Amino acid sequence: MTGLLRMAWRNLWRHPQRTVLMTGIVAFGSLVILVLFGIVDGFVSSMTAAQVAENHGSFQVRTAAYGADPALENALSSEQLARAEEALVGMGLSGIAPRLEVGAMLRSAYGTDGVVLRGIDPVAERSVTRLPELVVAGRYLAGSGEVLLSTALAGELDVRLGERVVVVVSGRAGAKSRASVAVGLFRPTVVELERAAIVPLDDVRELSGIPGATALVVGLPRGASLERAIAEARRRLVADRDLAVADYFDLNPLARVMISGSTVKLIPFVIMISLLAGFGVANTTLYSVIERTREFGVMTALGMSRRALAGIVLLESTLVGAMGFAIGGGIGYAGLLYLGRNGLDFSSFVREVSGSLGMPTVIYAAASGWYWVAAFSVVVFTALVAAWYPARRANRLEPVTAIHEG
Amino acid sequence: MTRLSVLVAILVIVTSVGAVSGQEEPLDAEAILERVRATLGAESFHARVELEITISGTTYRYLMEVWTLGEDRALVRILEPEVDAGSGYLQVGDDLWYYSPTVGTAVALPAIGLTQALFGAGPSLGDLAPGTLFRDFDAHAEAILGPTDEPGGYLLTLVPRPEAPVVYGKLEVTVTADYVLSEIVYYDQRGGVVRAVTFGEPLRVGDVLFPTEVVVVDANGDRAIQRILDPEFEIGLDASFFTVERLEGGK
Repeated sequence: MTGLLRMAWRNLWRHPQRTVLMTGIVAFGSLVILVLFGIVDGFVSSMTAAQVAENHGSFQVRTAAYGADPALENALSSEQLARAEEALVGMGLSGIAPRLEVGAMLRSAYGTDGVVLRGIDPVAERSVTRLPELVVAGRYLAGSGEVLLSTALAGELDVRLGERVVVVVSGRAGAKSRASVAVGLFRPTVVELERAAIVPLDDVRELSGIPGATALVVGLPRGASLERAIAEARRRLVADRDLAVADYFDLNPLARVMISGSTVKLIPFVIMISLLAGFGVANTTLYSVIERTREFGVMTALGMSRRALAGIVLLESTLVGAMGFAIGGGIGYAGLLYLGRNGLDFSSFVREVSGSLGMPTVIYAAASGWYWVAAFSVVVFTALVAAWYPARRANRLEPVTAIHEG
Repeated sequence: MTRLSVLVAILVIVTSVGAVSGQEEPLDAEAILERVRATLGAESFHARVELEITISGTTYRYLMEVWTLGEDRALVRILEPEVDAGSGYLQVGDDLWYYSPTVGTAVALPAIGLTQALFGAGPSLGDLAPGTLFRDFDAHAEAILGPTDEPGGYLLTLVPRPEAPVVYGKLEVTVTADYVLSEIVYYDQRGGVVRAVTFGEPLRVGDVLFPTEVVVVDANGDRAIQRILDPEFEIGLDASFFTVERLEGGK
């Protein structure tokens, strides 16, 4: 076997250009498969992580009706909010924070824009999202009469730090307005947050006439099982039919459609790329076999079995596949590691078409070792299958005919 | 154009009626604003209104018929252009409806619409409604022009109260010697001019002076000109006139 391997390796480098070409094809296929898997999986995990960390928290408790109809009438009353808080006591959460969201108009001297006005408890919010870390200018909320604006919104309305904006809310008692001073600007990676103005909870309660909250946001400590926590929260609230636990997909219904089976949807692309690489390898290998017909005839005449001859062809193909994968996989994996750390900025695309999906503007690639294994299996298997016909041809060569034909 | 702006624009105009009065002793800023307020607000009003709005270089023209009662009730019917003819707005307090013959029924609009920009590019009702000047701003006296200056009048600097829902840094209000608003210049919070509103072409109606032309010029060049045609005051309207049925029926 070692002898065959050595012969196969030597054969490959008798025609370095051809070998480099085949290796390049396999390397390209490996690279594409790896990057495709990494980006798609990274996209899903980036979207989930960004939404949890910046926007929704781990999960939320809302009224059962709010999910279908997010109107103020379906907000949590003060009593429901208290019941929900009580039910979650002792679950080992990192924190809970009430939140009241209403549609509002935000006015500056230079324009008016529709926004989501999000009332938060500035202290409790720290335990469920990393909103304070998103503040890139000014400071985080400290008290009533203050507002945090996204950098995008502040730009659109030409508002600078320390300037006053007017918030108008159509609440229970009709339209009410108040002035708030922009104390901080935040830069979210979740596009939908760019349309949010964030103020203290009591300011929104006063404007809207709603004493409760639209949601109780729940945060989990690092390493806690989300599924287990949601199941436990649902179990605790099962008797309270007015209340419902909203998980990530309840809070991002469009994301459910988008994410479901996203990896499975890639299989046709992987097959296409594998076929492409396979035909490339098969074509070149077959050509090399035909080219060496006379040589193979001599080798069999000297006593080499036809089976060993076919083995050499298969080994050549496998070696090319392995080399190609080592190069393509190595580059692809390094690329994924880089993208996993630095991310891909899709801000212009995401802002235009996918803000409503809750997509983050920066996608971080995933770099699981399983992609590497999967891509390796696919590529080497393809290379072997592709080499089957040339090997079969080598296996059937009659020495005399081959020497004569060659 | 924001159609709603037509309605609120009218409201502004009809409340800007100044009583003619003789020259008096110089007053402080607060007292002058009080005088201005006292001259505002014909109880009932009817007129045709021509509106010319220029936004980003494109000019739109509208002709409307307007009825108002105090500051809380208004009915606006659009006469021209033909494509909008017959449509209109009704405001009763914070409630607002829009009617289009195409739709065939009045549609309630959110009260928040009352805060939208006038003319789609100018100030909102809150910016221009005279009541706002007294409620949300502190008047500063240092910039008063004496009533003896030709052509006379006063220049007041108004600074918003800290809690007031006002987006401007200050307003400069020019008032004639008869306590009629002449011009309002809006400044942003950095001292830059945002827009200027000029009240002109005064018409003497009985013992009142009535500006029949209002010109709003934004810093970006957008402009709105409003001309009041054939105004009638105190025409005996009452609250029963301002109904959704009238808006829908055109009666």
